[in-house]
Amino acid sequence: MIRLRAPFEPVVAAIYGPSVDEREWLSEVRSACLVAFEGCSDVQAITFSVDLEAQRMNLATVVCGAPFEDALRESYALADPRTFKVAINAGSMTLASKAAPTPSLARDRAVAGGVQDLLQLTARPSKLLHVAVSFSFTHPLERIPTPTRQMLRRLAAHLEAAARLRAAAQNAARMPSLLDGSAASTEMHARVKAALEDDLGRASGGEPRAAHLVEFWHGLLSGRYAMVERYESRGRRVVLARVNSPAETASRALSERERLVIERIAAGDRAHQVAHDFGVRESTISAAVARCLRKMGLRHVTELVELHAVLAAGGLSADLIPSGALASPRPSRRA
Amino acid sequence: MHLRFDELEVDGERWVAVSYLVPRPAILQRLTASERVVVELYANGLSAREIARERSVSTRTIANQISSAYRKLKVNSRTDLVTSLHHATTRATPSLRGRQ
Repeated sequence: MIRLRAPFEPVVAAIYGPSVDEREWLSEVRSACLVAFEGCSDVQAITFSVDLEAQRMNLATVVCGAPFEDALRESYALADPRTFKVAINAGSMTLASKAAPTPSLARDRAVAGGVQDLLQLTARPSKLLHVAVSFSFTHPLERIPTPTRQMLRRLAAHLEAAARLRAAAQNAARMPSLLDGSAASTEMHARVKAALEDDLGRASGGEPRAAHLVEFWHGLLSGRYAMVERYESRGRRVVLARVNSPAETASRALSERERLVIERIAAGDRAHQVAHDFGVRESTISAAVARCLRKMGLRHVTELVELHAVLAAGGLSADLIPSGALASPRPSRRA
Repeated sequence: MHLRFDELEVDGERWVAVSYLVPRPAILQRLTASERVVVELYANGLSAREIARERSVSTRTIANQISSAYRKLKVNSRTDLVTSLHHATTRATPSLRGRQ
């Protein structure tokens, strides 16, 4: 089993290193790829090989419609493909050998075209669900042609970007929507809504105390509550939130700075205004807002604005909002 | 009763709910019937494309309706729109802005 390493710096270093043992390099590349694509579970597989004996990079691109793991299982008859994700090039055919079996200009072109394809595919890391790369060669590293090394370096950069995106996606996945569409959650929500209907139907229960609204608002900000659903019933709009477990609360809590941003956005400020006052880029604010909405279980900034307006009208008053949020902004540029 | 707060427990999980009357502010009278529907969907966070699909008209039609509604309601962003639909309530909002 290949030991895992921090992704890709070793690859780039090895590609440019003066004299690196090929086995070591191979192992570095494999580790890096393994790190980058560990846990991938879907759709696209690409394999290519560097054939130093022929001084060529051979490429086989396989774009699978079927899930990647299944493809691996079929192609290589592996019981547990996950552990072999990268070391799979054994039987892969190459575009080059397919195009022209003997070394020729046509073959060179086919190989170059194949590598270009691979670079194009990997250049859009967001589309890159699966890449498996394996290298097999017998000559020392310094005999890899320079263009090939450059392509490998670019490839490594692409793979690194894919790994970053994947990490970001995993991060997002840790904050899933609370309505996952499963039968259990659907049934649970039907019961909660029915119970709530009963409550709402009863005449009892009066104006909420301001403390309740403060509790609700701060609960959302601090991760104690997460909105699950917002729907209309009997002419009323209902914002239903779940009380989170302590562990979930910790992961959904907004940071101090996120709170400041979200208070401003909720009060109707635009991202560019907040960005101006905070001295950061608008995209930083937009990204923070998207992250916060996900944590709070909201789907759109309008939900935040509306909820805040309603709670504010109900008595979520200025002095109950953390004082930091009320720091006076610089004069608007529009003024 | 405009606003209420409920707490409930179902199967050991606790839930809270805030509910309020859906705003039907008078300013909506300025809009045509379809503008009103479109604007309410838009204020709920749907995209113009989603609304177009739902109403089986072109995205461009929806964009036109939204823009004429914006003109009539004197707003220039979706956030403004949402706050203006809650007009009575936004007056009480601790305004953090220099805006009126």
